[in-house]
Amino acid sequence: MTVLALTLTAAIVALGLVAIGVGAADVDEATVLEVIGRRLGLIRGENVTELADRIVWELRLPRVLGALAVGASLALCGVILQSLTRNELADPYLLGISGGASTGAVAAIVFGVSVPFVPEHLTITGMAFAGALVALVVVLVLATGRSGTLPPGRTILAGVAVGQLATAFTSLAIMVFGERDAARTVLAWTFGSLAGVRWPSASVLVGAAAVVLILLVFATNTLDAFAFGETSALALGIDVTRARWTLLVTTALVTATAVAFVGQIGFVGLTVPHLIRIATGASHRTLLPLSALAGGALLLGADTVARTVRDGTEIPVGVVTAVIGAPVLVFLLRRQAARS
Amino acid sequence: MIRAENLSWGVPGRLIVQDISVAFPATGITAIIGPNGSGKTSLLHLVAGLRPPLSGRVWLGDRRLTELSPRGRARRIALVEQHPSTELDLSVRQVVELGRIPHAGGWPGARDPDRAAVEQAMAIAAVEPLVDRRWQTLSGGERQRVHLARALAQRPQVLLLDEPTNHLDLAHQIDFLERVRGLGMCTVAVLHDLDLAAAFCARVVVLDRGRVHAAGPIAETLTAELVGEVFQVRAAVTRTDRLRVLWSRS
Repeated sequence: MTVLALTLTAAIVALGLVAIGVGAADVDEATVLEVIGRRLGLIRGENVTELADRIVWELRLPRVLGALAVGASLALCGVILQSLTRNELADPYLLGISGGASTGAVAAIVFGVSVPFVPEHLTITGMAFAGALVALVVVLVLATGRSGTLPPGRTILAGVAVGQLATAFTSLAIMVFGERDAARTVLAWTFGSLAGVRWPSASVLVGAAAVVLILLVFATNTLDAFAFGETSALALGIDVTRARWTLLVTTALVTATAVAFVGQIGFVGLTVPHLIRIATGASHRTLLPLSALAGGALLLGADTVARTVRDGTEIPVGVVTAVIGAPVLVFLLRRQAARS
Repeated sequence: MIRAENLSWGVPGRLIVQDISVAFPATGITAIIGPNGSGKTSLLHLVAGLRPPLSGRVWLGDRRLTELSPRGRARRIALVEQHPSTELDLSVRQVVELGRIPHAGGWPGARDPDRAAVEQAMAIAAVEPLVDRRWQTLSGGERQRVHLARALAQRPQVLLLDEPTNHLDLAHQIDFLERVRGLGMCTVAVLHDLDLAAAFCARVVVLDRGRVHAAGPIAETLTAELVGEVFQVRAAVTRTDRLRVLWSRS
């Protein structure tokens, strides 16, 4: 656990430095460190040019932090959903929660929903949250059997149905009511893009990820208790109804925050928890922090590839995570099939 | 020790447990027997406090079960389910340690004040040799013993077992029930095998269509007439070296 945690942290720092350096204008690592050092007041940094400062501090650093935060958030949501529904395929994307959130956010934007005295990005996040919650409840209601069970197959089918419907609505709304550059905007909402992340959005994303991680550390025993299902969790003294709804609403809120700023990004929440479980086991005491680290590292890597693989244009980050995640999904399906 | 008083429970349109009053003494095993769908598991879950009854109450000693917090309840009552299963790759030790969750403090990483509980529970259930095995690799009998150890790690006053001998071969059935009887604690076991019940249980509660058909010391209660009435099976109940239930086709 400790070794893996340190390795992941080191990887994140190294990857972060590289990510800040590369792009349309390359900045070498020494300059990156100088800019950050100067901004933090550690050095005087007289050699730092205004251009380097703008690129490193105002454009790339917030984007790197945003990627880490969103990756960590999505991975944590994946852990919660997989543990609570006892479904190894559960994640915010496959369960339609991301789709619902993007529908809410896009509806807020294209229909110009505004609430007096509430800042615009809070309105968008609020609408995204409402969308995520509606999608989650619809999926659970569709999938729950008469005896209150949640069969994995039906849950995923319901999630995919809701997610596809939400994505269709999102695309339609942007195409019909949106601005001229609609196709690009649709792409950003359905496959995710971190291109717009600056300090204000990065700090919200980092704050959300940190709050959730701290809350979840107190839920490790509760999540462990679900290992043998809800009856067993009840018998271990867990208030199952309260725990389930608190954690699911938290998941919806975190997903909505991420989607409101960077759109839907699939596969991070699905793959990361599995890889960590295979590496260090299913105990949430290790699973939660390591998934947060690995999720952050994965999305940071994916975003860096997304913005540098082609000169001049970015590819959507969700395309990169899908390229990594889809084979892992296939592997999981085969493993499940081999066991049954 | 634990006592049900006028318990009723059901799903919309159908009462599954109807007005059951029954007491389980502080030592020895009480068997709950009855045909499929007679409400055995539902009664066990009500007594465990897993679901609130529609009416009636459960007393643990002189306290009502609903006075206890869910965690407080789980520190006193442990349940071994019918088919505990998980897809997770857990070690035997991790499964047994689940039994310490009701005792764990709210702070993550807090020391368990009773760290011997897990070792002792594993010793009693004879799962020490399995401690590092993975759950998925265990046989049915081993899984059942691991969950007995998990339940004992809760340090309960009351042990509830739901068809604990299902899917075990005869030797493992006998071994499991001998082990449980050796604990000498208040135990309630839903059993299908009447002969096993006759051999290991001091008392019996017979359920039929959600009601108590009979209850009392097993030697007096479990008779050929009762088996005929409740199960529609012709049987002979004999007492040679021990109480035996022999059946023939009706």
